[in-house]
Amino acid sequence: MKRSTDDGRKPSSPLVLKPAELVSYGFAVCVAIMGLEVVMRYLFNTPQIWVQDMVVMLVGSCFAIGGVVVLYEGTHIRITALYDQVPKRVQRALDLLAAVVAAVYLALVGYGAWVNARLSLTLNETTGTGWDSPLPMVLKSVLLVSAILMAIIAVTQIYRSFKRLAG
Amino acid sequence: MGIEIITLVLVVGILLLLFTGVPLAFSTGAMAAALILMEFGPNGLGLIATRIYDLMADFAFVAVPMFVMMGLVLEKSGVTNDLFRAMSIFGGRIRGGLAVQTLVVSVLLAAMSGIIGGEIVLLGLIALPEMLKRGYDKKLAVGTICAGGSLGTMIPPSIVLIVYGLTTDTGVGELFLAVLLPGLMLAGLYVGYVMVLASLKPEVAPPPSADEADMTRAEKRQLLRRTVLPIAVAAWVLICIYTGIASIIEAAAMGVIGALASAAIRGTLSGRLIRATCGETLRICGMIMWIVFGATALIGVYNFFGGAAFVTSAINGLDLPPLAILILMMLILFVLGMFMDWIGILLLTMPIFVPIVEGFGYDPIWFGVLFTMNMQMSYLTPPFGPAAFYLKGVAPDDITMGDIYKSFWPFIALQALAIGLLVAFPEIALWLPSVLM
Repeated sequence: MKRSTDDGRKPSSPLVLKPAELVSYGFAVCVAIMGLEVVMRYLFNTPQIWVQDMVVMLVGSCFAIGGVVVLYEGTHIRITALYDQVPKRVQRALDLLAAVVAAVYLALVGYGAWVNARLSLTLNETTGTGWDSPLPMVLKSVLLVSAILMAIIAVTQIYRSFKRLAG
Repeated sequence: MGIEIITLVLVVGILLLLFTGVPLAFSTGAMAAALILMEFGPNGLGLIATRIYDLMADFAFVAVPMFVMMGLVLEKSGVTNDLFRAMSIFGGRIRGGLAVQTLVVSVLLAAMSGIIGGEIVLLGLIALPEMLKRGYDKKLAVGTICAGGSLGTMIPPSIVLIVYGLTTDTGVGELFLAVLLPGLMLAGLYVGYVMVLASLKPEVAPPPSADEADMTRAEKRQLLRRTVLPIAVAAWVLICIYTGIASIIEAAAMGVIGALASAAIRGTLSGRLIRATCGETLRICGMIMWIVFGATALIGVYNFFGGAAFVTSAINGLDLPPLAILILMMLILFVLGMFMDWIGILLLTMPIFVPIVEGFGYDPIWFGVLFTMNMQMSYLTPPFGPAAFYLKGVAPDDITMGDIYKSFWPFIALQALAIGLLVAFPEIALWLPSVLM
């Protein structure tokens, strides 16, 4: 489970990592409100219907955005058994291939997410039960944004591996 | 394109991408997206985005980050370190004591979190230097840590079983009960192996010197007291799950709160701890979930073209007895395990395998236990044995990748033996749920 190679030159831009850190606190918030909900339900007999949707919105967003961070840091799991055996130059070419595949996939997911998110937002889609939260709109938009961000990161990786391959 | 061609293109394409080092998360998804784009144009892509959204919006997946957090808090606050030290009280005097101690701690850690990577790294940092210092055989030490650390996928609360339950519509609570005895059996086999080896070849596991083994009563009591809390946390989570006080997800959140409480009592709870835990949880989930997204896209597209029906009829067309097909499935899982990680394998194969197995009249709960047992092997088998990579990261330089993989074979043999036992005696898994549920 080797972390992908990026010759240690991590872009130090705070553009991705700072917001991501903020997003990650969503997990702590989830723990707190779920704990609170159990207390409210057992001690005060007042179940909170908004908790479940809230938790899903936070965690679902973290799932998608976590992928952005992992791509940015180049740590998505990859099989390196063969990769490690080939010469440096071939490795550069393989890096380029990986970035291209990622960019294509993420652009396609982004397009699908855009179709879904646009429909969801125009219909003002909500869950329709309990709290009737805007969960579908939120998560579909988050997926769209994450896919776009990841596609952009992948494109910069294409550019960088291309430069390294040429240089 | 016919389904036969589609199957071939997908299998070959994905294997090619995987072997050239394209991340797992994108190999599967890219093939699926390309295929649906070719057949249906851009509008087909909505299918993929919808499947991904369905997973994001699934409350059940909240259990994953919760159990990850619980493990991280216990690890980062030093609670697990205490646990290893305390267990030396029991490990001190028997043959191969340190290795046995490592295995016991592995089981306890597995019951608290079950993040394979974290467990192996942790044991690699605490137990490995200790064993090497004592003059343990390198291979015994490494194998014990990696095999023990991989138990996290079996012992409840296991993320593998949660995802298995969600994918196949089987009860997670029942799965947790069913896996308990097989998991302990496997750990027992490891312990037995270590003890037999240590008495046959005492040089691979030297006993402690007299003064090392000596500890005052007060010291022992102090050590033991420190372990009460983490064990209580693990027990609390399991009690919540088995008695139904809280759902599995709420129990997981309660586990995080319990872990935070034990960090606070230990005096290591801090803002930094919480920040580091959240950040790492975000990364671990990002890694796992995008692999899940890719796999769900692939399986969705493949089934859209009639893939599941095709594989089912192909397997049934073999006209083999159920047991032979079961063994064939185990072999397929074993081979896949050499190249992929459990979650990819689970999402790709289980939607197809489980209905077939159920058609034979086998219990899907039992099959789930077999699956997790099989995935134990996938952690250790080269060329893609995650356990080896995790340990290499923290092992001394003179332990090579070759050493690590060589040390695995006895343990892989024990895992195969355990699978055999479980196939021959399904009661090992099914007895406990039948009594308690």
